[in-house]
Amino acid sequence: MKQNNKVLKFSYYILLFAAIGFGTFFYKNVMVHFILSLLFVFLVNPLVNSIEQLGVPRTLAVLIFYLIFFFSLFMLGTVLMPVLVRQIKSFAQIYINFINQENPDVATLPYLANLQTIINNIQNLFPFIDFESIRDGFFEKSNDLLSRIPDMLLAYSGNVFRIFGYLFAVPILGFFILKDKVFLKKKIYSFIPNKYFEISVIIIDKIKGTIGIYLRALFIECSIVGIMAMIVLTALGVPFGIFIGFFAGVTNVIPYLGPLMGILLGGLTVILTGGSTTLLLWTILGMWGVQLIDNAFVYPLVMGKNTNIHPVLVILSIVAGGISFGLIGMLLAVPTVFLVTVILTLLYKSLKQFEFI
Amino acid sequence: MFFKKIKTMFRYNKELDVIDYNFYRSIDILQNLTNNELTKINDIFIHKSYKKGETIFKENHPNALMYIIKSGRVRLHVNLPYEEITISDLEAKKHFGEIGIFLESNRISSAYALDNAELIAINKTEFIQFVKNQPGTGIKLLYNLGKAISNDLLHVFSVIKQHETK
Repeated sequence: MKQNNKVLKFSYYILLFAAIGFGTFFYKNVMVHFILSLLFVFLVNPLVNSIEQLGVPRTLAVLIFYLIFFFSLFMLGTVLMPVLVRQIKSFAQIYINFINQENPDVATLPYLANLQTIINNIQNLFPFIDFESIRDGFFEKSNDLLSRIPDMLLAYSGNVFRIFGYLFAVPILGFFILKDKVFLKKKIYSFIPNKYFEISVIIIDKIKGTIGIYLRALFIECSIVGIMAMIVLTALGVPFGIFIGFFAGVTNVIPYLGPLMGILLGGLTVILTGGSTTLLLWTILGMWGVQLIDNAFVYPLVMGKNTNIHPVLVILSIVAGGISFGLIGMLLAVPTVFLVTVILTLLYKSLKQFEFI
Repeated sequence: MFFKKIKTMFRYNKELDVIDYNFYRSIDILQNLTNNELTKINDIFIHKSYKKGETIFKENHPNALMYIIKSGRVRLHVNLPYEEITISDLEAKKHFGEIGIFLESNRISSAYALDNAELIAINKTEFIQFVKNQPGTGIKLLYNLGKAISNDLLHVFSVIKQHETK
């Protein structure tokens, strides 16, 4: 009888794992929803907790949080979004007009036309160097690059439409996880076999701490950078300041390369819209100043010693993400690598401490 | 038993977790807590059941949980190369493993269930968070814990005294 029970148990576990494995494989989308809503819960749980501490029951606290959340989303949508969309539209228009010219040539841009006179002066000084061919080669390359940028940016962004689906599903899933967090946690913990109970408590606790802090810090840092860039650019009178600031905030997720992308877009906009050289210099200086403030004050304050991935790994993961998934891949590369390394090192350490390996 | 556990896992029924306030108050470290406070601290309790002889934790493993015994008995022991020294056999309403809440140390002893035992596990990080969020209840809890640890110390001193007078 006892033997029979053991066989039953064993086959049950095999079936369970097979079902989970196949389920994960066939329902990738469902898993993505689930993981995203878990991440959402990680992000907002402290806020809900702080509302709950005012003496409000959990369910009501979650509801109040959702009210505030959707209200601020709505405000953001009505105040910031129209400006942003309008700016993106007219920016794209200018860009498209430029690319669709009979013969798109960067040399016709007002800013570079000025450069031409300088080159001519230098040419007169050093007649033996063939500046003409160097310049033509450079312009040809940059024309080619400019026409390829939209492809590079928009690769895989067809998924953007799926993001709207997530925007609805994730908060709803997150609502139930937030509301019944205690109940779910107790159920899951009491179901874990006793042998693995302590180790799983320790691992889950540490992952919760690290990931929650990291994601919140990243979100706060990028928002601050984006808002600072918007203010600086609007104050300087750079066209499409809100759009460029938004872009700089989003790409700030990418270490090393992201800030450069913001500065490049700012400079490019000034050049494309025919701004003066002084404005170009001020834009670059302003964006650089924003980065300086971020690196000196904001980053150390919110991130602390949270991220210590080696720069080599960071750059390699950005490159890998960029090659395989375009801009979206670059954005997600470093957070993903961070989360995976944190989880793997934690697992290894804990398994070693508990003498499982 | 096994299939019953699976059934309860998927049943969405909060009544399974009814709180027995008077039983909770009869536990040393939960005495003089009000019903309201007990409902709140019940949120961080994890109920685990152990079979006779099953290991709860081992010496030198990381220490992140303390336990309260709901029913059954638990033996704390230290393994020396050639023998096993029993530190104490604990009965229902006693607690063990509380050192980890105060110190970043590893387990100083091992524990296993002498009978089939029902335990309440308390996570260190959640306990500290609870004390911070609910300072009023937290003071009571910490005071009770201090009292319990002092009692243990007194007991140890009396054992040493007896040993020396022999």
